Amino acid sequence: MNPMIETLGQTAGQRVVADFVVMGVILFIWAGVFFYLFRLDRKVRALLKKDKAGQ
Amino acid sequence: MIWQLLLFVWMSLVIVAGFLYTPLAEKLYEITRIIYFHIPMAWVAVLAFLVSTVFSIRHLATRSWRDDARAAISAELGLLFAVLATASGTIFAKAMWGAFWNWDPRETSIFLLLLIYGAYLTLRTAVEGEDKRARLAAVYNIIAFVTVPFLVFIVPRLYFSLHPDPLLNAQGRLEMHPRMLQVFLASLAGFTALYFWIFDLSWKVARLKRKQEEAS
Repeated sequence: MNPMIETLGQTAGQRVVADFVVMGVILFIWAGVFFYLFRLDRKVRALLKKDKAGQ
Repeated sequence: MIWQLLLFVWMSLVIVAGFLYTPLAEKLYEITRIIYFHIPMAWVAVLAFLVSTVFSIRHLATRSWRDDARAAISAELGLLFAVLATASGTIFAKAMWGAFWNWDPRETSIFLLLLIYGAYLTLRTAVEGEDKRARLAAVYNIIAFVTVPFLVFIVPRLYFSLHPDPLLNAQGRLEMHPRMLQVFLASLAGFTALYFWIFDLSWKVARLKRKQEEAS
């Protein structure tokens, strides 16, 4: 038996639920960071294109 | 565009695999998962500081604003990833040692590293005159990087540390479950690609800003 789980008094089921919650939070943060960077990248590309066309 | 979407899928799979595919390490229990994020962040910080130093050396040879700007961008990213590695390290410390901060040799050395590179960015804002600032910052940056191998690889090994052995232990052996190693290496590759993407993006923004400044 995992002593950390004993200390926390969690059952195996509760532990699995907690694992999924943490995984979901990390995936959500990663998705947020990614789409922010992706949008920024597209905007910067468009600006660079416009800048090149203006020269 | 395609490689960015691939990176999104890659990192998402790393996160899912870290929870569902890999076993838990002995004595680390659920906190094992931090290995797939904390160590790659620390690795990217060291890589970013190295890239920054290379551009600083190039700047001293070329005196080009481009090299100076790239050195600054990389140092900023290195500092960002070092802060993230420190933050994730404090979560590990709380779970394993009972306190967020213990002044462990590894914690102390990363704290010093944050101060050193924080001072680099402060120096950049404190000096007037582009050429003088770029030259001073480049020299400081090169000297700052000399401390990195000592603070990251040597000092934590000289003193007793609560921190677990890094990937390569004192015997020079890789002691990780094969599945853990696969996910760890995949995470390392993903974080490295993420660093280069943000670096490239920041460089493009810096170029646009420069053009705008020159035009006005």
